[in-house]
Amino acid sequence: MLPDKKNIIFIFLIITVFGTVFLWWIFKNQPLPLTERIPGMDGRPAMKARSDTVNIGEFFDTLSAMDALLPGDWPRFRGVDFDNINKDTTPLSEKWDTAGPAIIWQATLGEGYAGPAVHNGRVYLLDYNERKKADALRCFSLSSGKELWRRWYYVDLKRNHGYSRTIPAVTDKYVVTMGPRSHVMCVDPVSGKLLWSLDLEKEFGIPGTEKGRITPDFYTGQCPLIDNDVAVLAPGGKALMIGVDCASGKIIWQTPNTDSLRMSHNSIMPMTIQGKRMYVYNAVGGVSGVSAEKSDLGKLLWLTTDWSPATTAASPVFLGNNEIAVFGSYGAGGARIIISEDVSGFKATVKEQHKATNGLASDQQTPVIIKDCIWAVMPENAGALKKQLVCYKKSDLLTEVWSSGKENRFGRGLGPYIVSGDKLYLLDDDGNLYFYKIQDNKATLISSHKILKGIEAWGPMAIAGKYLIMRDARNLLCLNIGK
Amino acid sequence: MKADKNKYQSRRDFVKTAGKLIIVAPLVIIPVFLAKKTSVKGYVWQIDPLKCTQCGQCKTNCVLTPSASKCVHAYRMCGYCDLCGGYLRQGVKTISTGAENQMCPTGAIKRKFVEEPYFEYTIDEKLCDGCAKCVKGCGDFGNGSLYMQIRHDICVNCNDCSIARTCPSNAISRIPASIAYIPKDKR
Repeated sequence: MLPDKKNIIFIFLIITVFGTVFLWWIFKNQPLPLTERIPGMDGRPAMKARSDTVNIGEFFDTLSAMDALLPGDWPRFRGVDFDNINKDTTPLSEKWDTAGPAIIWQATLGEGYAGPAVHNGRVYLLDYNERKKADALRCFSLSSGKELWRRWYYVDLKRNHGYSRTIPAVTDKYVVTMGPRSHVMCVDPVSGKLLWSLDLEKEFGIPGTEKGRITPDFYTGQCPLIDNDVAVLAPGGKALMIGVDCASGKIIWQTPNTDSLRMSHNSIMPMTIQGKRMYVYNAVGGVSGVSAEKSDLGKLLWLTTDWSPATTAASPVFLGNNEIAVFGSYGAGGARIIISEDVSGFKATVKEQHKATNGLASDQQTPVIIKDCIWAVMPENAGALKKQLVCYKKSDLLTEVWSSGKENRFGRGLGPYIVSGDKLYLLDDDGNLYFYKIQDNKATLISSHKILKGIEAWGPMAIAGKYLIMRDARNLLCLNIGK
Repeated sequence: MKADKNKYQSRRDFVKTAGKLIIVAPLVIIPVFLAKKTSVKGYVWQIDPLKCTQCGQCKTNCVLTPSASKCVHAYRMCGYCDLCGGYLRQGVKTISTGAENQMCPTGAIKRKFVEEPYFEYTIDEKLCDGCAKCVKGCGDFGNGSLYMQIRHDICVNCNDCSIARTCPSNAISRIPASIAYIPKDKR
């Protein structure tokens, strides 16, 4: 049956109406035009080698004579045993009164997060003087806070979340510092006499390449290490790690950087794994172990690129059983790496890795191990545990055994903490100092006090004798926490 | 005497008039005040950036598509970082403007080199869909200079804002239209 005229008109009308609606629907909400998002759209210029010449350690100012020589030792990042635990037996106060611990002295600093080192009654801090535009190794008397001397050099920096970040390494004979732009300086710890210097950017950088860039984003955060009178540094670029003889300033060994790892904000941690002493370093691009034994000093023992967060600041810690824990910043979380050994040599295997929401993490400070527990303040992006003091078992980095609770969060979770015996001192970003007592896998808040009025109290603290030395972005303070 | 009487009467009249005014004034002022306060025109919905938890519901719960809730930038708080937690995805291997490195799914954040080591970040609000991923990244790892605000040139100012109804942190409330925005860098 042929359709009659009415039906044809009806069908035509329906098609017209639906067609019009369809076209209207298609053209009404036109999506915004797609544009390519490709590298190079930000106008970043090609990378150039820095052209300025820095005369490292050029100037010296004698400021005061040494006064009382107090006991107490915190000679480098994480203290004598690299564990951030004070072993000094000086009795410390069990409780603070409402006034809090007494402030013994204080000093004004350039903006930054560099922490102090203490040795033989002197406090060393690598500061940045914004007015002079100079790195300055400042030596203070521990007893009075008087500045004894200052060894400094011009280096032009632009503020990039502060300037200074590193802690000097001190022995009886040497102080080694690393400045924000990777300028290394070795001086006499008493007289301040310049012994040698090294520009890591100039010596180990590969100009014009991202992989050959030495100083990381936000300036250098690696704290130098002195091991048997050898300064151990991890520049990246042409060498993964180097050893510099502190007496002569000569580079006596260097580890080839075959995987183009880059300097991170981590520091080198000496550890004994599988019975072998080694320097463990979590670089940008991978984690490595370099021999610290005389027979094969500087030899790369193992390297894994299976754990390589874009940014990492908390240094590796030894968990026992030939395992280490490593941490990444910016939500990267943490990982457990097992180091095994067979006839072919050492091998690193990432046994487990987790995001900050799923397990132990630290954006900035290195966690502390006490017996079989590991303590840290969780970062801001750690879900329900964010900014809380937490305790995990070394054997399980995924399940917390204790946390300070949602009513006890600490700033942005970036402040430092330090342990002495059963006491844990925690400084939040805003300068509030908390005093916890640790018992097994639990901590009890004993006292707290607002100590600093500044911001970004991120510099690691030091304990020497009965003194706790701490800082915020611009102030250095020495507190009496003794009995 | 006459003058005294007038004076007495005048005072009495004054007290009477004042009394009437005291009684009448609130009857006039209070309704006017309340009327002004309850006027829909006088109030707009806005996000308190200090309460916002960047849950992402602004993107999906607004009656408009894309949402009237947009990311805005407090330049005075920005660190102008090369490694920007608001611009770059977590764990990027290279810092560049490649789409694979960007946090923003729609490419609404533009980045421009200023001078070593600083980069300026601007928001293209036409592209912003209010997902708040950049705000979370900036708050977690940076200075928190990116934050969410409801744009009143887009918002239809519903009587019962559907984002406010579902906001888990109660960060959205009515504020006087004369204020309109809650800038994070001017508090």
